[in-house]
Amino acid sequence: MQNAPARPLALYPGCSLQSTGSPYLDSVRETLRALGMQVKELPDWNCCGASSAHFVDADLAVLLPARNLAIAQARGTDVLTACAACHHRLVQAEHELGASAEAAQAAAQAGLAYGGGVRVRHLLSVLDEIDLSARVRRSLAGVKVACYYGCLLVRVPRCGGIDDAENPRIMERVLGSCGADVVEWQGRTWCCGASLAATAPDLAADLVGRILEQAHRAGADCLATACPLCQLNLDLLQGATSARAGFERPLPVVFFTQLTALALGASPRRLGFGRHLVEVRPVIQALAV
Amino acid sequence: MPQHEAPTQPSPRDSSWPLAIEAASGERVRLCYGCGVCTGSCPLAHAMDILPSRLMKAVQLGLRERVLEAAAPYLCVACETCAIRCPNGIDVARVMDAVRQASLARGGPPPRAGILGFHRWFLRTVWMFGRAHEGLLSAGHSLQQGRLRQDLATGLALVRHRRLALLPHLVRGRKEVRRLFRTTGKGGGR
Repeated sequence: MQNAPARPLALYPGCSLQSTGSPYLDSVRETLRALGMQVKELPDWNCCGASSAHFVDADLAVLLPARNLAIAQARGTDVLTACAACHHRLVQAEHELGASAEAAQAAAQAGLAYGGGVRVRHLLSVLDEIDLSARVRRSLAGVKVACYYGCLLVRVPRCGGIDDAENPRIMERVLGSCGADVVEWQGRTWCCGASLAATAPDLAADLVGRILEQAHRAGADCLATACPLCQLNLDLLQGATSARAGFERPLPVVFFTQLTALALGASPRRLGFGRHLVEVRPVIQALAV
Repeated sequence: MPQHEAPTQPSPRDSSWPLAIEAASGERVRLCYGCGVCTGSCPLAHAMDILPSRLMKAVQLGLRERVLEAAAPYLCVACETCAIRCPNGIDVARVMDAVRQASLARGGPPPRAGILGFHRWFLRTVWMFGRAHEGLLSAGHSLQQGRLRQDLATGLALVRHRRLALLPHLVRGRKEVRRLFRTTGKGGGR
């Protein structure tokens, strides 16, 4: 798969993983640790601008991620992402700095030295290349997981997402190799409207409700996501939408890394399950003996 | 319901505008033949005052004023479903970006000030710390919208579940980050 010799990976956590997405960061680190992978954090990284920079300025949307790419290049590392939004922005910026003379010029003008060639890899892609089934110490058998991709992981126009845009299977493969019963369902790549959650909550709640309805219908015990914005939105708005759609029970929303870390033998106490708004522990208890 | 009535007066056209939007977006708007796949795929189309495919047509026609007054680009969440499905390879979300940025450059009251305000608060915290501060941006936005009381319960639930970092994470190279903002003329996260 890789033609160029692989450089070491440096983790780009992104801002959400240091705050609302903290269970994601904890479980990413536990997953890497369980696999014996030494991954340091990208030094002095800054915000990628995610859903706000492109809203007001096309150049800013490239320059904010570009500083992180320049740091990675100077350190001789590639970038490992976990947040779907950061991944999307870093991949797009890397592409544009190479493809657009204007973007490269703006970067130079802003004092950034980036010569190209840094690979941005999502943790799902990295795990997909490892035979996880041989490393499983606590099988996830019996947990029915609805893999939820959302938008940004699979839809990176012109660059390609981490898997097929309409029918991705990568999360099913990764969690399936940990023993999980992945369910087939509609809604895997539907947008949850997280960026409108604070500003048009009714619209976001409507999108969340549609996704939850599909996952419920497929008999899922939980949703697994690779995006801190999706997780927060689906976790937080469930109060509003589950009542509306008349579901009997709320649906826990976990980070896929919480499941991989559990399967690889990490202690559930280190994975942030207590920080979820919709109670996750009933789903996890059966496994965490 | 969104309104799609035909205007009673012929709208003024700016024949150079389609090219300006093509340059700003990097997308070949002229390739659009109006199939409507973007509209059919858009999760927010039902809330938009101009449907994505109609907005594309309006840009092609140079109906600048009509497009710049539209709320649709403020409701676009850049989920890119339109972009991966467009048979002509047009990233419609990028056209939405370019149109929205043109409406901001023109000045005047934005069609959805609340949504714009949220993104400005986001960028303000990035300007300040080098990284986004979710607590401050939510509180700032909430205060500005006069919704602090309604939003307080959500904030407290997040704090109670230890989901909000209260102290900012400071980037050592904040000056470098601010220089990025200044290069784009967006100093102070404005």
